[in-house]
Amino acid sequence: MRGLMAAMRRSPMMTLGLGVLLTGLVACNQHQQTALQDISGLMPDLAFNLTNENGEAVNASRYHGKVILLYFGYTHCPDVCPTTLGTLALALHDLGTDADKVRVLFVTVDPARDTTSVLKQYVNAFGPQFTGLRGDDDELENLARHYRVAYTREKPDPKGHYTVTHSSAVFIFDGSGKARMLVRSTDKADAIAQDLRRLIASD
Amino acid sequence: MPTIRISSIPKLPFLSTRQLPRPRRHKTIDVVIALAALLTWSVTFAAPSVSVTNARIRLLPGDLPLAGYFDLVNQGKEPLTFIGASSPAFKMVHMHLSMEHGGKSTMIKLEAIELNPGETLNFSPGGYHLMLMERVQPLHVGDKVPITLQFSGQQSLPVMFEVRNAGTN
Repeated sequence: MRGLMAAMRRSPMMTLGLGVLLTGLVACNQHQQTALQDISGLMPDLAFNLTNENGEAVNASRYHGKVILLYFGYTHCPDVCPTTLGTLALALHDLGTDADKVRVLFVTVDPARDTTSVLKQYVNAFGPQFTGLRGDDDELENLARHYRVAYTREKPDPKGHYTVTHSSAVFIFDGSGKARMLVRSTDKADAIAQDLRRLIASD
Repeated sequence: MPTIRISSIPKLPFLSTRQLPRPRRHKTIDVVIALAALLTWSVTFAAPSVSVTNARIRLLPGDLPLAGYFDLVNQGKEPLTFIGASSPAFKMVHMHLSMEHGGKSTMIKLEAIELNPGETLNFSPGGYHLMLMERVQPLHVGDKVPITLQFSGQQSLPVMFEVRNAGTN
């Protein structure tokens, strides 16, 4: 090290070269990082037994080979849920034909109001890659516990309208069902598209 | 940041639509009543000094609650209090703020938002929004929907909102 320092003092050009090399390494390292939060190894693999918007019983194996975006929400949510799904729809639009390698699984935390027919109309409004999933209270609770997702049905108003407080995160799984990234509400569509492209390329 | 108020505020005077039989009276009194009515009309419908742009509604299927968004600037010299909205196209309109706390999303109902002169208020996805409930008739992408924004001091402003696709933010 002392020798290197001495050489740098002797040769300013070498110092500059070393600087360029280091900058290059840092840039390269950044390129390897995900745009979204990396959750590899921190969450269980994709697993569920639910009913889809066509009334069919489905489990995770049905989606093997697809990159999966898993989101918990409810259709009577006027702002946050459609905003999140809208951002995902924009990201999928960015992918072009590769969007078919991705599925968005929207699990309702309000199965009482979100019947299969309500779910079907709802997910169709966002695009062909969107699937609605529902389960009874026990199935939903098990799944939510599995992914440490929280939801609370608030007290209904006199007209019976109620809101559901729920986790805002979207979990991304690769084609083999491994948890890879977390989309937060502040993440933009282009960052999501960038990581989806990388996952599709590596699958 | 605009100041928000979530506690109750004084309600707007209730306008009765009940038709009462008109008693006979002198013409001059009629003129006075007409003038008074005109004055009341101009007070009730006084437009505040605001500009509203980018007014839109995100369409969802069926009769699911919708969100209305817009950008509002207080162009007047006085502070302004935005107290809500109403529309002939919806039976119920609430003013909400979406919030995220500890990774969970929730909404709170607002009663009033105060805006200083020159201040901008963005009703936008993931934040402030009008929650539009119980459609009077089905809506389609591209429709224009009238919504009246209401302010304290009996001021109001009718705005046309454009209905947009579900997958657009």
